[in-house]
Amino acid sequence: MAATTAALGQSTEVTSLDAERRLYLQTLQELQLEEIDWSDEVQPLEAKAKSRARPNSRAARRVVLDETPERPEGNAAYALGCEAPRRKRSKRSIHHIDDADAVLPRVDLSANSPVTAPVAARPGLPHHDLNCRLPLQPAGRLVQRRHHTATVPTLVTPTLQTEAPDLPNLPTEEELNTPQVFESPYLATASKRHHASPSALRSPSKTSEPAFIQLLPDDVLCHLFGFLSTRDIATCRTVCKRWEELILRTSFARTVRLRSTNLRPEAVCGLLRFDFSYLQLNNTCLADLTRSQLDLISGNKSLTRLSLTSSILSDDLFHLILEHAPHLEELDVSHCPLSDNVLRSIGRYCPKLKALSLQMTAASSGAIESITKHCGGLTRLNLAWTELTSRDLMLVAKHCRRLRHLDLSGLRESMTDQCLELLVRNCPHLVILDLSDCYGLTDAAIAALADAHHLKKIALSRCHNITVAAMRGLRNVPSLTSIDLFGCYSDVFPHIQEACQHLAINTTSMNRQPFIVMP
Amino acid sequence: MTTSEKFVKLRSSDDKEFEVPVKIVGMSVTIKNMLEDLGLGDSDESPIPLPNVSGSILEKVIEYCTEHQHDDPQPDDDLAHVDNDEPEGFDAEFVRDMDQGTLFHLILAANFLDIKSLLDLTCKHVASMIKNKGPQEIRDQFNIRNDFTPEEEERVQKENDWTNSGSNP
Repeated sequence: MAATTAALGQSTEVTSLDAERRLYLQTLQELQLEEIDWSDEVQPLEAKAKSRARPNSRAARRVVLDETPERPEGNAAYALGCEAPRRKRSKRSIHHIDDADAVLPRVDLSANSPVTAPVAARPGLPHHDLNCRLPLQPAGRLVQRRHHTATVPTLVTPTLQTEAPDLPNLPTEEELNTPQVFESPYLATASKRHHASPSALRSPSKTSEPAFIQLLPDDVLCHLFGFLSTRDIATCRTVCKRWEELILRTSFARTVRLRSTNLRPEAVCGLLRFDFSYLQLNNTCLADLTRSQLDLISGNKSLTRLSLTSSILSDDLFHLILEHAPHLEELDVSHCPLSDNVLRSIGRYCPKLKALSLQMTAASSGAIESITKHCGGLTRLNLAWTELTSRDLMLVAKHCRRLRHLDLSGLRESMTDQCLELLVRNCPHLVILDLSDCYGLTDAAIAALADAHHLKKIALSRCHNITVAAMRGLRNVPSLTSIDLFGCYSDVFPHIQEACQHLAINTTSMNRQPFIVMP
Repeated sequence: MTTSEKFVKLRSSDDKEFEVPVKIVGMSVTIKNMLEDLGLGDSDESPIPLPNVSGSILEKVIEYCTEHQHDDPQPDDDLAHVDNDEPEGFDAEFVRDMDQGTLFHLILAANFLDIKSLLDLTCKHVASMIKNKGPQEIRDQFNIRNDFTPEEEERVQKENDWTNSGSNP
């Protein structure tokens, strides 16, 4: 307790956001070390205070900025995790002045506060009262409020019964009933933008209700956010600090789909700070992050599927994304202008990869060595139209023995009969194999395929060095059901079809599934 | 059936007592565990204190559990809640027009008592109140104080810029 308070107390000195973050993390760690028993709903008050003592280093700072020396005891109260009452600055918050004093009986406010520790000071009351925002208003008004007495009598009534003398710091009845004028221009635009009726913001009957939603503990609030769409989650982040922090450190099994757009550094930073499981950024241009933005991206994300097809991003940014995505299972960087140098790090950072597309990238021997070394679990691999050599392909055949789906189209001379033989021998689970535009393959390739027992689908478009006679040998591939043969002379098909009557020979339609299917 | 029709007494935070069939009360994992740990008590034994739940909220919980006592237990799948079915029938009526004080204390009670279906129902209802709203609308709806400074809010909004492009279901 003392340690926590002390740590937060120092935060009055803290000004930079980074330092504050660090402090927050440190506080979190401390709290975890102290092993608060969350299962015990009736926590002792100290633990409760600690459990709420999260992010309010900023609140503590505000006290200094606002220069309210007449209430120095407030510091301790804020440090303990209560919301900071903004008595002077923000008129808007009048209706929400938090009962910081009331819920913290340890802080001696008896001379100053009309609502002396009415709620949490009572033993045996549930812990969620701690965060209850009881409006500090003249007692007469409180008693009149029907809502509290009618709906949550046990929880809030004690406050209502408190006899409160007049308090000079508090807004008077008159002030409360006077329409508030927003001083900050940003507030005005915010409310305009979202069509909020200004009267709703001012209306005492509406605003005097506590923020019941803030009673919910973090895990319940996160559970609630889980029912929202990606966009709604992103909006919720901007509602208040508590929600922002909660949302940024929660994993959401959600898909973000962006296409054909330019993301400025702030937006890239914001996007990467979320923890969504599936990211699909097609034709997206992602700006580089500044040093301070880089520091904001922290912790491992639960990202499992990432598609960056045709997106433009720097090596550094890609490296950063990989660094924080150790659980990545499916990665598509096809058509991305990334260097072989950074593609090498895929193997190192993503050992759990099951699907990888390097189609039309600068991937070369370095990347393949690293990937084959670290990603033995690959089941789907697309190396189409890369500059890989026969030796690289041999490496793939040697190490990626679980492959079921392999696209080697456009490998022209590199893909040889020897490579295919090794592949068929080492990868017995191959189901789909694309060898289009591999001129290096000859009739011997068809003979080798006869040993691919699970092969169902093969593409041999424009493999001009395989003779029609040899193609007829495809009937010997036991499980084969369909062949893609584009760009061949039309008089060739009858010959092949005649030999392979049970096969569907596809000569025209390009029916390409996306490499990664996002939920 | 006659032997299994046992009753348990529950006592709310405001000292109201409720006598509820074991079957209904068993929907709460918390109470179920309590009963199993203590051995099933007879109805004349002292009531189970529920210091986190007020009488009026407990009444609501019992109303919900009575309605759903014959439901199959839900699969304990965290991804299951991705489907956002609108509640129907009793469930829809149950949460409709509920004031926020009751609603959120009901969520707290469902969480404490560990009644997943009730927790999901109430959370989904709140989620539906958030859906498709702007930040200020959400603040107004729940009386949340905007504790961002103007600079912070500007930063957060810039960081959210990506939501305006592409489709984010």
